[in-house]
Amino acid sequence: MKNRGDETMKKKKRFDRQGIMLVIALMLLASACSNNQVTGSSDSNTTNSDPAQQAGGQEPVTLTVWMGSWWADSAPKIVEAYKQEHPEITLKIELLPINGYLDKAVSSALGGNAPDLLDLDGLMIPSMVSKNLLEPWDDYVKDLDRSDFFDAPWEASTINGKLYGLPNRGESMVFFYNKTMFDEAGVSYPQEDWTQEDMLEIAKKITVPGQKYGVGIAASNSDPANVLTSFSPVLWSFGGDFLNEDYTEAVINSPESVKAITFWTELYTKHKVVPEGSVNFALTKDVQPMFLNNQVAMMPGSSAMVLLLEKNPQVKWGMVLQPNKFGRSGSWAFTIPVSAKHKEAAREFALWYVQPEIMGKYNAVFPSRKSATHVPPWNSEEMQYLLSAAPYQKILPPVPAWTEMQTVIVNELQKVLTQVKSPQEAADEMAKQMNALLKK
Amino acid sequence: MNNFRKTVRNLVPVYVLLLPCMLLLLFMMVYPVYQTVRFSMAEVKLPSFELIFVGLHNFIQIFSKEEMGIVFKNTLVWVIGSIVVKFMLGFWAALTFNVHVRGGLLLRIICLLPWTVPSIVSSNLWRWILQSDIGLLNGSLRAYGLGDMAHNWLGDPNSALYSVLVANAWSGFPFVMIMLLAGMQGISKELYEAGSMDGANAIQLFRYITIPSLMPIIVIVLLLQMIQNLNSFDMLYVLTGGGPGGASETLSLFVYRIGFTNFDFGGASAMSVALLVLAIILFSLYNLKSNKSGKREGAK
Repeated sequence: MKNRGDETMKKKKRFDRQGIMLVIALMLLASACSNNQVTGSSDSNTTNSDPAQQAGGQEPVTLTVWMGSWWADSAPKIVEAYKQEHPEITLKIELLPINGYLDKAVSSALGGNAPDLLDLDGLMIPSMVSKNLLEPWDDYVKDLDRSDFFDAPWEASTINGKLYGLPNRGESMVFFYNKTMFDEAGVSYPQEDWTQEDMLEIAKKITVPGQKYGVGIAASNSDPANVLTSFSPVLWSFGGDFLNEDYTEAVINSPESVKAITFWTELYTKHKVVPEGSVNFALTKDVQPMFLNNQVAMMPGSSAMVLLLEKNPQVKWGMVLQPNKFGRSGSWAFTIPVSAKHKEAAREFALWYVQPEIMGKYNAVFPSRKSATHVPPWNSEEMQYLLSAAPYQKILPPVPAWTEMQTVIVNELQKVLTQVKSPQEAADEMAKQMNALLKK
Repeated sequence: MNNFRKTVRNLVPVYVLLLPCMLLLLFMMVYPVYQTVRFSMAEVKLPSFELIFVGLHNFIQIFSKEEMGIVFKNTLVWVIGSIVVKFMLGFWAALTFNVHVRGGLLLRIICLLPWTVPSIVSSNLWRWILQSDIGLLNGSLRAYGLGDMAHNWLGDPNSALYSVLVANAWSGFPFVMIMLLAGMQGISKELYEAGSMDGANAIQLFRYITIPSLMPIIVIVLLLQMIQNLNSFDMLYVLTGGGPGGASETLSLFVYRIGFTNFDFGGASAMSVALLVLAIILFSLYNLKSNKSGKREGAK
């Protein structure tokens, strides 16, 4: 009896140990597979050494690039194409989602493990520059044709006269409208020279409370850029703005600006032409599905929306310049963190990429230069329409404290939407905090 | 001499064996706390992390922020509300599963599932459920003719915090259930038999036998839940992000915003140090109380 007890104990111990080893092995396997990276071929180490030796001893370099998750389709193609050009460089493109993108970028830059090349939204660049985290590009772009690049993205990357980002995306925002919903309501399609008031009238005609809504807005603070996309064109349409011309004072509480805040929030509070949950909405996560589902008739968007709609042929849609023509310029640019390890190689890659043929071919989003738009898919009618909207795009203030100001603006807008504050009170609070941030 | 050598011989291996653990504690606990305290009294210049001593300036600045009152109130409501709801659900489930029924094991496993789902997944799940226009909750209410009860759960400042509280309770109650169930199964059946022989009804049995026997476990779970709910972050962040208009911003979201959106590490550290001091005070009070009651028990 005692022997059997011992044996079963030994067996149990063996199984326990095996069980633990199995679990540890599974965990290691899972963590190895969880890296979302796109790299060159996995046996690059062996194949690299040969051409490297032939090329006169050039060290194999691993170049790390961080971009947004919407580049998922293009990233492998870019890696392949670059490998043809530079077989000695292993290009790794890591894709990050938009939520928390800036947080991750700054944390990694501060923590010393920044990528070599970092794709940043134009409105994130001032914040990084104010913390001295980015290298300037001026010395390296002398051979580029500046006039070929769109103005707005280039300006957004220029802080204090120095260029801190090489633009690769120059989005123009227009309004998309759902033809099915317009036809159902018997409303004629919007015209080029319409105003915000026209938009409101159309929205009222289409809205059926609880079922269909005329227009979509975004007010969620999880993606503040979206809120600005939705709100700033309205602000500019009424003649208001966030800061004055030389970015020294907040004018968000000027009479014109307050009129704009009133108009935009009344879409939700008074006229109810936007969905009920708009206070927590992000354009991409919440409004787009409703647009595709024939529940929202109008919304702002850019080339990404065109690509999305092309994948959903059941939706009948059209594009028109935004009311009063204003749109928020969307720009992303390649930046080089100060703590990057391979700056030379990073610059080489970025300059290779922004050549018109390359950018036009591989961009997942609207290119930042005119000559890159002559190839598919950018030479389609829809995309060329976006190009025509480029002159009307405005950028948000490129000041260092912009990300903090954004949070304040979104927060106060939410308070007006939930009727905790009046538009004037919210605007005054915004101005007060923005002025305090400007002084820092 | 001999004694000394004996003591050394006995103690050295002990400390050598303890050394790895002590180093770990030093790096993972002591150093970060020390660094946070240093940050809280300094202005942190980025990216070099240069520190300029400013004394209590950060504390004054943070505590004089307008939203402090709301943040504290939200945190209080959140912590107390979460604990109460989780305990109610946990107790109810534990009492149910304390009785052996067929299929009880399967039910127990199903009840455990909310806790095992990664919090990001359950946050996004609840975000969809509570979405005002096309979410599951409002959709079901409208489909069954209860459209009047459909509400803008996450977008109304009055209901935002409570909606997330419900989601958080769903996610966290299995832990309470397991702990209480384990405790209950340790209570001797003879106590209950003795009680019912003396004429006690179900409620009296619960009040005079179950609760006192479970007291040590209840206290531990209470402390753990207080810490956990004070640190609650992902559900709130995904569901409301602290909105609308700061109506559901708790201390953890506030520290995150100050630290990682505004990059004011000095201010965020100041808030964290204040929280740490609060936690130490609470723990000391608890220790004093348990020492007192321990002495009383000992004297008996």
